[in-house]
Amino acid sequence: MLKIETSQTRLQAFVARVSGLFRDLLKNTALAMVAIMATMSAASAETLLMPKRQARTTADVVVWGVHTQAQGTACTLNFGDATPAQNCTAAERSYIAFPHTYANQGTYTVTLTVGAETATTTIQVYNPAAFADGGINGASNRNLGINMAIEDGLRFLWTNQINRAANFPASTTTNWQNSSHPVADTSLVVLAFENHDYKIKANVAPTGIYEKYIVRRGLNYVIAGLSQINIGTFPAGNNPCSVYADCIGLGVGAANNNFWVNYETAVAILSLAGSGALGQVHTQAGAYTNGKTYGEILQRTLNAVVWGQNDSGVGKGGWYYNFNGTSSDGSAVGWNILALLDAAAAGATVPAWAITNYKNGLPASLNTNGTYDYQSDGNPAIGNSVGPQKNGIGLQGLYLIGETTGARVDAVKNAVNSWWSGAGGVGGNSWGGCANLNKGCAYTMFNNFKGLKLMGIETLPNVGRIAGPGALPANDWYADYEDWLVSNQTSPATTTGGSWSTMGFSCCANGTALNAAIAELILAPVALVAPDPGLFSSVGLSPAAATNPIGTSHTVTAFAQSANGAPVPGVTIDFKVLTGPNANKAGTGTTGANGKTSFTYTDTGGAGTDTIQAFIGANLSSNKVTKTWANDVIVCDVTGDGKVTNADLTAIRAKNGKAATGPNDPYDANRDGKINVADVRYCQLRLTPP
Amino acid sequence: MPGNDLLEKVPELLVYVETKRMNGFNRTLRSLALALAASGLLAHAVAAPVVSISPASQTISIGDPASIDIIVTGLTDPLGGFSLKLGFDTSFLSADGFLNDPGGKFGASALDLSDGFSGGSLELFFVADVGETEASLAAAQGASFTLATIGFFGSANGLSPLRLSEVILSNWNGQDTLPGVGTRNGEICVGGNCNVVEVPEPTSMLLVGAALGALALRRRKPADSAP
Repeated sequence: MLKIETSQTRLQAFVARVSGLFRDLLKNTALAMVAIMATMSAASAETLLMPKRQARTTADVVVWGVHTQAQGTACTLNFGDATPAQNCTAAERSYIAFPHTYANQGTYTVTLTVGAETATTTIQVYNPAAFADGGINGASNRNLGINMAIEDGLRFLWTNQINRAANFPASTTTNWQNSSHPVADTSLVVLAFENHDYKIKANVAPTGIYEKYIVRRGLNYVIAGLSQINIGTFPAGNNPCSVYADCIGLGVGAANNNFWVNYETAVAILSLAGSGALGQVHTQAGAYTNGKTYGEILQRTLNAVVWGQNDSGVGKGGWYYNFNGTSSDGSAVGWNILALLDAAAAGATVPAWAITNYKNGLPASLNTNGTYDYQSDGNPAIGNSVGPQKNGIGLQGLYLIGETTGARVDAVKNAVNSWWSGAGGVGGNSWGGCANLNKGCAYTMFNNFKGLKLMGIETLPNVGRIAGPGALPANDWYADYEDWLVSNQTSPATTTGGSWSTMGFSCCANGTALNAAIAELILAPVALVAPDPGLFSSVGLSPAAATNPIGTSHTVTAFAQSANGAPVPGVTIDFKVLTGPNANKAGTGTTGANGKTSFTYTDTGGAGTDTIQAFIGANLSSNKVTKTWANDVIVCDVTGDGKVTNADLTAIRAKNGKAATGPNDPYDANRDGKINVADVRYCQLRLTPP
Repeated sequence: MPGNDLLEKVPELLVYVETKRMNGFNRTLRSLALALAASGLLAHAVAAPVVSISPASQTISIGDPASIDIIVTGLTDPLGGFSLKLGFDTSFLSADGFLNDPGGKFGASALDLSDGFSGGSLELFFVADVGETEASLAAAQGASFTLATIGFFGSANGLSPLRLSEVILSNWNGQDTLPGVGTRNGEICVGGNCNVVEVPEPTSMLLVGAALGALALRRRKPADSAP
């Protein structure tokens, strides 16, 4: 009888949770409707300025904004310094832009006044010579240059929207077209904005200029390009319908299985995964996606991609241009790997069998010398039309299957390194397309960037870059890429500049928007997608507080996760001790497969309390945590004999399962409020040396 | 995603099925649950680590030995230690012994502070070798491995549940415990006649019907599409 009651209770709870689920769904839908209504009502006049940014006293900075009032409405742009305001009445309303030089260091409030409306933003201006860490040659000025390049590149992408002026502000979509595949191009551009943390929030009307007019409208364009495809047939064990049993997938041109459908669909996934807004409800009257969340659209698109994985032939386990081919194409594989990784980081369900199938088929494409076949030939000893463009895909593929060390990783790393100068590397080159086959070749750079970042590889011997400034080691490949992109940006201080016009994409596609998107993605602090800003800013860094004896070391761990808790690998995180006896100590790490990376430093400042924070790029910061260094504290010495021994571990073990008596309970060594096996492990690592 | 949320209820179905002992329906329910567990449905639903008993069910005779593994799956962080309790029915089973970390995944000189068997309970408490790092533990453990192997003898005919409780997984350095750890229990039948006669309730019949329908949908292959 007791068993039956227990079962009934479980069933009631089950039913209650399902009911709650539908309540949540209705609530979300209602919120979405409210958001849509808010967006519609906001279609009245609006004036917006560029996001806040940084600048130097030594160069022009383009100050710009937009308005939605009638063209020719009285307009002034006040730069916030002592110079006269700029008359902008005649400026085209979707890009009111003027270069301006600020004479002095400081924070300036820019004001755009259009009719009765005003908008403001701030510009932080630095005198490079005044930086304390080396002036114009120091790390601060270098970082400033990178931040400026990012902002100017994003501005270029704003200007480069197709039919920008005609579509502003009324169109619900926006796009970019360079490669004859506008959905893919647009998805990459949108991802570039998202990865610099210009993201929408689910079912909340966006207000920022990029969030509202680039990301939201770009995602609308990408989703509008998706059509249904029946994915019901699959080999035994490879069920792509596990999440949505109706077996309806989504793809770009999917209904006709167009030649590029797999390629484009994989790229379309990227901006959806990068949105960080999987609860957002899409509205598109008459479309299959109407009323569906971004999460569902992402999952159905991903389902089509895994369904489209090759099931036979020498390319089994890989991907081809269209779904379910028999040959595996290296570049198609690269985009599909990225789609799987991005989707997983966003919290979508990537079936394990898809990764297993890719793993089993990898030897047909990945060669012993580290190169990656164009068309898989089934022979690891022979390269099929290999080139430096695809070498990075090998690293991504190995990362996907969890192989992060060993001979194959070393071989690909060596192949990537061999082409760093742009010529004469392992395996030869069958493609051309760029004057320099590494730096300046967007496709090569992007594949190298993703693979090296995910693998946690920091240096390559052929990079030939000296150490510094700051803590940058010699031969830091990423710093080399950053330097190249900053140095080769085209006229960033002009209203039409900010692109990378000397870059090529690959053998087979090109275009300034495409290249700018890739440059921005490489300059972003994330290799896949940006983590959830709310979670990172609230619980991104741990432990929240700790106390240790002076002179010992301390480790803090940053956690990059999506809104639904999925770990986000490949995120570059900067750590800094903000205040306290060890102020200004700093470090950098890249998150691994668990979304985490740590920073360890040793107290050299004596007693006191440090405040530590982690940062992702210029726009995202974590919660602050503290570390107290004290003279008379020996953590884990619960027996009070002045040292940490096995007796302390046994004593802590004896209290297993008990709650801590307070924030300073010595048995709760890790300060999580509970005494358990973690505390024993924590103290085991702090045993006093014999 | 609404669909995903629904699927998160599948483990509850599994638990529900495990707790329902219905003659006739019992085998169908158990098969259904195992099928769901084996499919991607359940793999999707369980994002956090899961500690489970393997095999989940076995039948032995009186006097025969039975061995189970306690395995952890779904790891994204390496473990620095674990503790748990395993309950069993001493009316039908007697303890034979236990071995923590049979695969040596915690290093060569791990610290075993287990209390061992006490009545119908086994308490394990195990901490990694002090010299193991996050990287070495991650390389050794991967996403899943065996935490312990437990031995029993059948002592009388009947069904003994094997219930996990108080499962704590420490991260590699003890700074945190892994959140949201799931558990999956098991059972050992001594004598082979362990079904309990109960009348299915209408609500449980509906649940079974819905689950069978989902299984049928999963297996359907429309004829008008081909890869």
